[in-house]
Amino acid sequence: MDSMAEIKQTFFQECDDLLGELETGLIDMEGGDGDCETVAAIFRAVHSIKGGAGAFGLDKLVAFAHIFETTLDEVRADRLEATPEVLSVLLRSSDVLADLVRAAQNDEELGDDATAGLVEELSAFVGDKAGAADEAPAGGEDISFAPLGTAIDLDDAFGDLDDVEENQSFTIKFRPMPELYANANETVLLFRNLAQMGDVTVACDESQIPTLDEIDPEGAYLAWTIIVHTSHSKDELLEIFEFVEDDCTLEITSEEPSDDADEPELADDEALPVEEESPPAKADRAPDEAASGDDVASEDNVVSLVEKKEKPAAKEQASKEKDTSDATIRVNLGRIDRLVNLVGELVINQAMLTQGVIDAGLERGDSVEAGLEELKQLTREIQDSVMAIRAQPVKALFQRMSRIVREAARATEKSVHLVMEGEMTEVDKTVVERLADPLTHMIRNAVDHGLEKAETRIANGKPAEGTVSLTAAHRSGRVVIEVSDDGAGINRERVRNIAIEKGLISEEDKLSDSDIDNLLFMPGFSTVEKVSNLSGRGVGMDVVKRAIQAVGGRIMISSQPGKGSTFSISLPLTLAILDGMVVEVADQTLVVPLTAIVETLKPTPSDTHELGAGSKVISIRGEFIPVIDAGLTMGYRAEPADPLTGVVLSVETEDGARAAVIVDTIQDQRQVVIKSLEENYGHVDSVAAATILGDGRIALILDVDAIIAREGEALSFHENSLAATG
Amino acid sequence: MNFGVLTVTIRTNSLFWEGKPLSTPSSKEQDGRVTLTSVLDLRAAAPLTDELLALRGNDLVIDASKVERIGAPCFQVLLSAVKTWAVAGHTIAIFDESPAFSESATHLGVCLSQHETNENETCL
Repeated sequence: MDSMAEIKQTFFQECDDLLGELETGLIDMEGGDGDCETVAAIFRAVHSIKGGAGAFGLDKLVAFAHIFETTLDEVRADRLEATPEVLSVLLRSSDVLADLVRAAQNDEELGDDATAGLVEELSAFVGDKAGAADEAPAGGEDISFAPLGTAIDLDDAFGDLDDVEENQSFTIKFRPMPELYANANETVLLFRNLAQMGDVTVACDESQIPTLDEIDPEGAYLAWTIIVHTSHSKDELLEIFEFVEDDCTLEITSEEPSDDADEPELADDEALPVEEESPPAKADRAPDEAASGDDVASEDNVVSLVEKKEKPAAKEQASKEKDTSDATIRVNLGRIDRLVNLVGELVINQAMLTQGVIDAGLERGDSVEAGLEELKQLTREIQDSVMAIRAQPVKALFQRMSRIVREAARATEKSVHLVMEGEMTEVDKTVVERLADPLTHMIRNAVDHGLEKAETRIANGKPAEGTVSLTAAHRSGRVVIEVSDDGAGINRERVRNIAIEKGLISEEDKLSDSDIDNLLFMPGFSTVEKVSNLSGRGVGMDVVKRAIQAVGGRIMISSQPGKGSTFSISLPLTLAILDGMVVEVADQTLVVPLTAIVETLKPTPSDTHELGAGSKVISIRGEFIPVIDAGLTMGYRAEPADPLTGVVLSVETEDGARAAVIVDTIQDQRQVVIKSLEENYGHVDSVAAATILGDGRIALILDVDAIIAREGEALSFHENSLAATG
Repeated sequence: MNFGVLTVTIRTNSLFWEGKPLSTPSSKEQDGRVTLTSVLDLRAAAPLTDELLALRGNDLVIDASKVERIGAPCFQVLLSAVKTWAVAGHTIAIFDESPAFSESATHLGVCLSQHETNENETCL
């Protein structure tokens, strides 16, 4: 890849982050949580995308980003109120911007009609300024809307500054709340940091100060208007206030270049005495003074001051790195996978070493044993740390869902509020990627089928706006993602009737509520009489279930009539390590993924039934389940084993059918490192992967779905048996 | 270790000062003199308020020479004192400010002069 392509790729990666920030900000605003900071952040996001796009000559992207940014600038300057109507257009614009970025990334052309309507709507908000969009320079910045690094002509007043053209004026309005002081923040330190950024002029509003008998000593009465002439960006100024932004009202605006730029107008009519007698501290002066004043502070205070004084240096460093301020690096995924692989080797090696030490028969308390114990500990820590590298918050995935909700809501003409929780929950990257499709489908289902129409909701005493919530949380070593709606719940009567109609169950079948709910996951089941173009895309919940199972997950439904439904997905934290049951079959060791196993049992003679041609079924609680002899299937033995002498693993396949796999004995239940056979050897039917056991032997991991697929007859029998039982 | 926030010395003095403590106290009228302690952080604000409240009714001299650190809350208290004293028609002034005190006041743009009663006093 040439360097330009690499830079471009980085740009698109950054676009992903920026689009995420943009969407989060807009959603915050929609939820009423947005303040001027939020508007500034989303403006910056669009602005950065525009800047980068300009550098790569992505004209279409630049043009749209420009009109989008112009509208945001109006909102930022309080000239346009962020009404729900405006926010709706802004949210859709963020969707289109994402589409444009995606199209640019794939070297595709997005049709003009995708943007035309929105451009018109955005232009309507900004009035005259809209025209500027057409003239948006493809190559980069235009002065009127760009607050960052914009060239501004300054008067001679700033002639002493070396790089006059890069300087810009910002007006900062800062009013601390009592919490700011209570949280051990100090305005003096903030201003000292600010003074290091450039020329500051401080006006303190003392008008709110009460007399001594009325004052709350820990209250906040002072407010400031600060004008900063600086070569630094607004972002960098904002960074100074990063830790106090929740405890103050803060507004940073860039001054438009004007003739009187050297005499910026202050909000208060108070003179600026600091200018007269003692000029504002300059970068080269403040630290010295600070040091001289702090040198003799008591020990406790020295510590706290030193800590705080380190901040400016850190800030400077951060500002240099700008977009990498959260101290992250981008690493090729292949490198991480290699590391994960090596750690897997280490885990195996350590298990082998342990086995070797046991075999050597060393005495208890031997130093080798102690060393081995430490090695185990370290290996576990390394393993956890490496897995954490691959872990990603589900936030990006969730953000994509908010768009799905918007689109679904528009298509169904329903008013939907999406609530997201636990976005920072981390899951393995591969799992996150593979969740996108099933989750999209589930969200669409929730809006389309889950929520009632507004009039029905109102009639049922519910708010017209439906709520869909998307939550993620860690629960006992797994990640649980839930999609809930506050709709009508599953119409079980209807589901049951359809299942009977389709021959999935018989009329006599007595099914519990949860059995009926689970019918939704049966292949081909669709409750919608009329296929809507939203969720009825020929994809049923069975596909969702298969996709979830493919990443080692399980899906469950719970539903309450009139109150709504919840789909819970339980996922493993990683795909590199698997919880498996180690079993023995004809002197061979196999691993069966624990996620596939429903239960294990020792059958009695009355449970097993011959079904001609050597086929057997086993009765588990009244249900007949086809028996699969793992030894035969894998070719370990020629003669079928007696189910009565072995152990039966009741497994569930991806399509919801169950089978009984006969093995000789169960050895253990443990985590095993997954080694791909495809990569290292080649595909082997019925084998999902392999692992290396502590004694160095290779054990194959059974592909439960594949062996059942091979037993085609048994499977078709199973389907028929469903109709026959009852 | 806590040595208390304020050391208050009552002297008799009715004269203005010019950046230095007065060497010849007057005996005509009782007024107060306060030496600010070295650390005037949030925790010091309430005790400082109490100490200053106790000195109402007299002219007041505040010695800022020992201040090594002062934050906005204590400046608020001092500004409040300036206002309180002005309302009562008494004189209040801060003198001999330490570099740390001056620097903090400069950064905050705080003006501690008593405008109404003491117009010639310069801001910090």
